[in-house]
Order: sequence, then C-alpha cells, then structure tokens
Amino acid sequence: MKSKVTKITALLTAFILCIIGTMSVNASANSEIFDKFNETSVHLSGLDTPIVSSIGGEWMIIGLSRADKISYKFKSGYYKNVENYVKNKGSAQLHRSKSTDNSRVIIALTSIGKDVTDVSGYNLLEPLADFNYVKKQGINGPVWALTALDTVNYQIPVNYNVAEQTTRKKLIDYILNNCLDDGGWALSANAAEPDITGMAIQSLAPYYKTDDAVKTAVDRAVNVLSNLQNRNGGYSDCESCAQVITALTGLGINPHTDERFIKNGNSLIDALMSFSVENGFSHVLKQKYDQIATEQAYYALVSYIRLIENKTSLYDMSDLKDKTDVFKDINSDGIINVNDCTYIQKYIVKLVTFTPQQINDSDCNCDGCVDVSDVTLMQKYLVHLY
Amino acid sequence: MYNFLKEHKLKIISAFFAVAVLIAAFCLGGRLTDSSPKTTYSGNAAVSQTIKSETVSNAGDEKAVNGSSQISEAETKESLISKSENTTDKTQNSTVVSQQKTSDSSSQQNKNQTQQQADKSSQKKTATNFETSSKTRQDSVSNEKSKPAEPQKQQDNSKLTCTVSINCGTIIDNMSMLDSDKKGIVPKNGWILKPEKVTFNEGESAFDILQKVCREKSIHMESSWTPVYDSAYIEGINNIYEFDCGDRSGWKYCVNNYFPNYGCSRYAVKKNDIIEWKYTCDSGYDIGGGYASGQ
Repeated sequence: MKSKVTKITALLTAFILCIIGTMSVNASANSEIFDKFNETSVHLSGLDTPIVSSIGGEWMIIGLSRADKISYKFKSGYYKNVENYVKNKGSAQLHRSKSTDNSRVIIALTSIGKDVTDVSGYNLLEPLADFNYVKKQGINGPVWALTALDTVNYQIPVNYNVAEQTTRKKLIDYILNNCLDDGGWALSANAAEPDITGMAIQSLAPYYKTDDAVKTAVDRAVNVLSNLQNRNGGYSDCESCAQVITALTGLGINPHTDERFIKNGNSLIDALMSFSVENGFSHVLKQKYDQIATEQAYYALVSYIRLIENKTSLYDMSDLKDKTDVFKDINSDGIINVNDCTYIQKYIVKLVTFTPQQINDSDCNCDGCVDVSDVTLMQKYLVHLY
Repeated sequence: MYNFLKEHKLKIISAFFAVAVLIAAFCLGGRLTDSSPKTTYSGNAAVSQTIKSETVSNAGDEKAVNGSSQISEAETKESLISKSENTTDKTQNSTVVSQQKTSDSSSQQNKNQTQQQADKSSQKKTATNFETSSKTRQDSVSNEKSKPAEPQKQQDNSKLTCTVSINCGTIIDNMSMLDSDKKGIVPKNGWILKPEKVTFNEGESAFDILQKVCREKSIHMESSWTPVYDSAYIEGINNIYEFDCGDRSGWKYCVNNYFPNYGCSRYAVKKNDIIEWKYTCDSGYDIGGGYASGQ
C-alpha cells in the first residue's frame, strides 16, 4: 500500500515538473523577444529627439508609437521639428523627386495622431496627387504612397493641375505591373529582393481580401520569400528580415510559427534575433550596432508583438481613430469624468504635481503643453460635443 | 492485442491525458512572458558603439549640412568651404567598411534614395566584383578597394594632381525618358567637363575635388549630406538630377574605372587618380558600374 502511494506521488511530481518545463521552454523563447524589445525601446527612447530623416527620424517615431512606448518629449519634439522643416522648405513637397519623403512623414505624423493636412499650413498629402511625381523614383514611390494613404484611409487630394491624378487603383496597378518574372520585387535588379518584396507586400496587404489580382500576386510573393529564406531562417541582412517580418504580420501570418518560414528549425524571428547586439541590432552578422538596422528590426518586432497581442497591424492605424483613447483617467479613480478635468486644472494652477505619465495623458490636444485648452476639449468630449 | 489494451486501459488513457496536458502547458507557456530567462538565442557578441557620435540627429546639424550646395555663376565659395569641413568632420567618425550605411539602398531607410553610389548588399558582393574589374585597374588603387579610406583633415604641403571629368552621355541614348524641361541642357556627346588635370591636397575626398572643380568652372552642382550613407550625395550636376531620365537614373563616380560602393566624401583621392563622374540611366549598368549598386 505504502509503495503504491509513493509510486503515484513520484509520478505525479515528475509530471508536474514536466508541465512546468514545457511551459517555460516556450515562454522563455518569447520572453527573450520581449526582453530585446524592452531593451531596444529604452535605448531608442534615450536618443536625441527624432528629426525629419530616414535615420534618427520617422522610423523611430513609428516604431515607438506603434509599441505604445513613445514619450511625450519625442512626440511634441518631433512634431516641432517637422513643422520647422516644412516651413523652411516652403512647400508641401519635401523632395524634388522623392515622394517617399512625404509618405514617410505622413506615416509618422499619423502614428502620433497629428493632422497631416495642416503642417505649418501645408497639406502633405497634396504632392501625392501627382502620379508622375509619385512614380518618379521607381517602385518605392507608389509602394510607400499607398502604405501612407492606407494608414487611416486618407482621401487623395484632387489636383486638376497635374498631368495625371493619382488614384489607389493606379498605385496598385503600378505595383502589380512592376512585379518581376519570378514573382518578387526589386529596385533595379531582375531577381526578387527580400526587402523590396516585403515592402511591396506591406503596401498591398489592405487589398488582399478584396482584390483577386492582389491576392494572387501576394500569395506568389510570399512563396518566393519562403524559397529565398536561408538555413538560418533569414536573409543576408537584418533589414531584409525586418521587412519580411513586417510584411507577413501585415497579412496576419505569424513569422515565428508559420511552417513556410521555418528553415532548419529557425524561424524569421530567430533570424532577426541573430543580428541582436547590445542595445539593438547589427546590419550583418558579427558586426556592431547599426542605427538603420536597429530602427527597422525594432518596428519589425513591434509588428510581431502587435500580431500576437491581437492588435491591428503596424501600418493599420485605424486603432488610433478611437477618440476615447485620448482621454485618460488622470486621477486614477477608475472613471473618466469631470473630476479628471478638475484634477488637470489643479495641476495647471500648481495645486498638485503630476507624474510624467499624467502630464502625457493630460495633453489631450497633443499640442505639447497642458493648459486650459486640454481641459476644454475633455469637457466637450464628456458632454458628447467632441 | 485487444486483451493487452483492456489490461492496460488505465495506463494508456492516463498517458494520452498526460500528453494532452503537456501540450496545453506548452501553449500556455507561450502566452507568458515573464518566466525564467533562458538563453535561446546566441546573438552577436559584438560590442555596441556609442550611437550618439554617429547619429546625425540634431536639427541644427541637419540644417547646416543638408542644404544644397548649388553653384551658379554668381555664387560665393564660403558656404561650400564650410560644408566641406563639416563633411570631413563627419567622415572621421566612421572607420568601418561600406557595408552598413551605404549598403541599404533598397532597405526602407533608403527607400527614398536610389542605389546610385551605394552598395545594397554586404561585402561579399564587392569582393566578387572586384575580381572581374581587376583587369582594368591601375596600380595606384590599393588592394583595399572595398574599404573607404576616410579623408583626413587637409594638409596643404604636397602638390598632387588627379584627373576629373563629368559626362552624361547615356542620356543621349535615352532621350525619350528625359524630363521634357531638361531636353535643352544636355551638352554635345554628354561632356559637361572633359578630362582635366586638377591639383589637390592630400586628404581631400572625391567630393571635395568635384566641389572645387565645379566652383572653378562655374558648373552647377547640388549635393546633400546623407546620414544614411554618411557621405555627401550628388543630387545634380549641370542641372541634371537624379531621376531626371527615368527611375534608374542618377550620378555615379568611378576612380580608375572602378566604382566604389560608398559615397564620394568617403573616398580619399590619391595621386594620379582618374575620377570620372558619369550619369547612368540604368542603375550603373550602362556605364560599367552595375556592381556598385550591389546587384
């Protein structure tokens, strides 16, 4: 009798240990990713305030804001930089031949809830109405114009003065027509390049379910990317991995668990992590920290985390349109009501001090300061006038 | 067989149950994110570098160097000199091979840049293409071709000469692609500057030489400092700009028939170098420099 009990107890203990073991194996794999995400979030947040630039600029803003990690300082500081930049340009068109400058800034501003149609009085969407201008630099133009426009379903401004008016259909057709024979996309080569292919897929993702031609092209391209994947689960550099990850998550495909993207037991996420260095990522293996690689790898991670947390994809910013997000429970009493307005007013007249988080949450109109206009906006919201 | 099953029914059922529970536990574990750290990834052991010294992240910085250095007949030289100094300062920071900054023309950062003057992929491509062009190389170019030799602060002792030329002849074969408002400004045979001997100081870059020569000859030239390439980027010469002749057009430079896959601020000119600025209408392939695009 005694030996039987001992036997059962032993078996049960061993079994429970197995359960804990299997749980931690999977959890630690994911915890590794989250640790990296946190480390890079902290590092990026500690850099200088982003400017209008492909490095140290929009991609940092986009990554951090989509991760819900963007600081008040970055949001307002970056916006001021954009205002000055556009004012100095003296035009809504930010580059003589590259519409991608406009598209990139549009995506970043949208991610922080700013109005792209009025930046120092300029409408940044306007230049995208000129289809010849959008096409001028090649595939990147239409790809990024489409991605930018579809963040929150912007209407393309109509411009009767341009030779050819841009439409979404023209953008999609251009992208599909410039697909290479092998089913992928490239800048100027004849063979698919993973990063450009990834970007093209990102732009077409919103049309996957509704447009047959898009679906066919995207399915084929996904296949191409799977075939190009090397034994480490990735491609020749960090950025290519990042772009493919972002593309797949945009389609709702999990780049860590989808069979098509596991080679030799290595997933795309594993491959991305292989470029991990202190504080960020390197461009190629065994090299040091690289800012471009870090920014892209970071937002790729963000896109992956958004997928597993059931949030909208990186570039689907419809989640930001909910106004209720703007108003927070400042006094932490569990309800958003007039008492929060009063609390902000107390802060304004210095009767109470706020934590940085509270300051951030109180800037309802995102104009960079907490004042009576924020309180008024919140009051309007509470009486359903906003 | 049936008897066996009957006998050990309990054990079999509990075995299946155990497996099912383990699978559930595995999935549950996947949802957790705060369990004990286990090194699943063997990441790079490389040391990080202080990013602040690299990142051009000050609005002030950007303003100082990102403007055009357009030269017209009437313009003064002061602003150009200061820009060139800024350029030299910045290039002193990077000691690393072209791969990272310059090799991302197709990556997102560079999605708004063409692949002109930039290598898209890693070093291995440079090495391979180096072999194929070795026949046309001259001895004055070192074997470390793929590494940019960062220009030093200028020393004004030595009297050194090199040859510089600027040509946009490929446009003539592609007139249908040329922007209509540029049709009148393409010179005969494409020569904007026929090969000319130029004296330079040790430590000057290919960019410095171009600036100097354009200034002296009153040739329009516009460039911008591009953090992504950690170099000046030639936007236009003689009012002929990148993308003016199709989406694969722009300026490239070669030295002794070799196209460095990094920006012109990062090439330190050597005695007797033959520097040629060529306008391509096909990502470099029509001027013998397709490999420098990283293809």
